[in-house]
This record gives sequence, structure tokens and C-alpha cells, in this order.
Amino acid sequence: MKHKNNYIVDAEMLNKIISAAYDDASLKERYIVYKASKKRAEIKALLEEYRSTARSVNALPLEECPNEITDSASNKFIPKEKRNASFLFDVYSTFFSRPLLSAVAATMIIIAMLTSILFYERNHQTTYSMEEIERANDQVKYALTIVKDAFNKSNNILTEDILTNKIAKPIGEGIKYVNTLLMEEN
Amino acid sequence: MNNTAKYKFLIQQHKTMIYNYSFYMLKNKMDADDVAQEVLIRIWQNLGKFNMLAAKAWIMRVTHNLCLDYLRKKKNELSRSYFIDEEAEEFISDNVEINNPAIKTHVVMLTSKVKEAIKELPENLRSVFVMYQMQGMKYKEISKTLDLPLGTVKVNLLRARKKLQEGLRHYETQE
Repeated sequence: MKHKNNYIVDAEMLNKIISAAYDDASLKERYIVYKASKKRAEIKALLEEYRSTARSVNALPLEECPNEITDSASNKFIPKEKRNASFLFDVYSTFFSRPLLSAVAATMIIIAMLTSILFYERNHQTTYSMEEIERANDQVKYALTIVKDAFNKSNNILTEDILTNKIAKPIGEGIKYVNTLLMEEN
Repeated sequence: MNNTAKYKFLIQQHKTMIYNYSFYMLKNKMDADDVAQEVLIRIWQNLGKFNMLAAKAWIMRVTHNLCLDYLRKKKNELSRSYFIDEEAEEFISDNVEINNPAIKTHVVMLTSKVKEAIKELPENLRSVFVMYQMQGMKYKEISKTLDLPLGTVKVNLLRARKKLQEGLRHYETQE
């Protein structure tokens, strides 16, 4: 990808350099700046300069609110017995005041749930003793025998009773009756 | 959740943001103390009037407006600002894990310079810069808090970054 005017430092390019230095440029902008910094030392120097400032800004600690201010405000409104935060409130507010912390906690809970389910399933499978397996094998064999008996009975009924008595016999009788009628006509 | 619990929860969540923003807007700790205290009072007084889910925007708007009022009042008065932020220097000096005293001193000096350069930004650029860059607020949140179009927020942030760079260059040339 070739940038217009051979990577000249115009206002547009400067904006891209700044965004890239502060880590909020799009992927395309970062690529353009990266290519431009490789081609031109001036752009590389500018990028480094802004990056250094960005690093310094990001490293600045936030100004912490002095406890006296929150205490004196709380003393005005909150009854004495309710001023001291409970352990549960501390835990609750610590988690909810930091979205990252709540996200991490939620992820850990989900991972714990998934692993416990997976391990439970695995343990469940490996806790069968040989005795139990043999018993289960016998039970399966017994069940299959019952099924086999039922099939045999059905087969016998089908061949001996249904096919011979209920189908072949009436058909034979019908044919006999038709033959008798034909012979009488002749 | 009763009012006391709500209040304590909101304070716990937002006290650093309130104070940090006030500090950079007013450029000194004493004024930041006053404004932060006033914000806490406003939060208590208006507990039932704002949505807890939109509390951050409401609190930051109140903080911003109070800072502007304070700046207007202070305009003709003697500034109470002090330029050597001793407490911050002590904090950095205690927390930066560098064994070389020369490098440590350089880091402390640089941090101090950056802080001063941020404080020197024009008010409208400083507010956006502190909210976005230091307090991690999103463009939309800043736009809602400061009642500015999204485009203006982005432009102001870019201008602030350029100005800050110019300010730091100025410090370097002074050295």
C-alpha cells in the first residue's frame, strides 16, 4: 500500500501518528503509520516522541481522594452506626467498582463450573468397578435373551399360525371353492 | 439498597475520578478538596433523582460544572496553585522500581513535567483529555457528560494531545 505524496507529514498523517502513538488508531491507520515510519526517519521520530509522551501520561497515577474528604461528607449525612462499612459491602463495592475485576470473577466462575462439569463426567465414567461392569454385561445379555425369545415366538406365530392357518388355509379354501363352482358349471 | 448503602457505593466507585478530575481542572489540591467535598454533598442531596446506571455521567457532569464555577470565581483572585507537586513526587519516588538514582530522578522529573503540561492545557481540551486519557472514559460518555457532539470530543482530544506535546517540547527547550 503506497501512501500519497511519499508519506509526507501533513495534518492527516500527523493525526494518524498521534492516534497510533496513543494506541487508539485503527488497524489500517497503524499499518500506514508503520510503513511510513519505516520509509521516513522524520515520521519515525515523531511517532517515538508522541509514544514517549503517551507512555508518560499512561503511567501517571490518579490523584487519590483524601479520606478526610469522604469522612467529613459521610459524617454529615450518615448515622454513626452505619458509617463503618461491613466486610460484605467492601467485597461488593470492590468488585462492582472495577469492571475488569467483575469480568475476571465472572470468567473464573464460568471456568470453574465448566471444569467441574467436565471432571464430574470423567470421574463418573472411571468410577465403575469390574464387578459393576460384569453385572452390567450380564444384564445386557439377559435383556438380549428376552428380546431373542420374543423374536423367536413372533417368528413361530408368523410361520405356523398366521401364514399357514390364517392366510394359506383361507386362500386354499377359496381356490377349492372356485374350482368346485367351475366344475359345476361345466 | 437504601440511601446510605447507595451513597457509600457511589462514593467508593467514583471518589478517585471526582478528585482526579477536580485536581487537574483546578490545578491544585486545596481547590480540588473543596470541589470534591461539594460534589459528595450534591450526590447525597440528589440520590433519588438520578438513575444509578447513569450515575457516572451525572457525577462527572456535576464535578465538571462545579470546577467551571470555581474557575470563574477564582479568575480574579490570587491563584493558590503550587507548581512543585511534592506529594506526587514522593509517591512516584516510592513506587518506581528503578535502582539507578539518576534514572529515578529523571522519571520523577518527567512525570512532574507531564502533569504540569496537562495543567497548562486550555480548559476545554484539558477536560476531555483528563476524562479520556486518564480516567478511561469512552467518547460517548464524555460527549454525554460535557454535553458536546462526539466529533468535538474527538477533535478536542486530538488538539489536547498536540498541545501537550508542544508543551513538553517547550519544557525541553527550557532545559
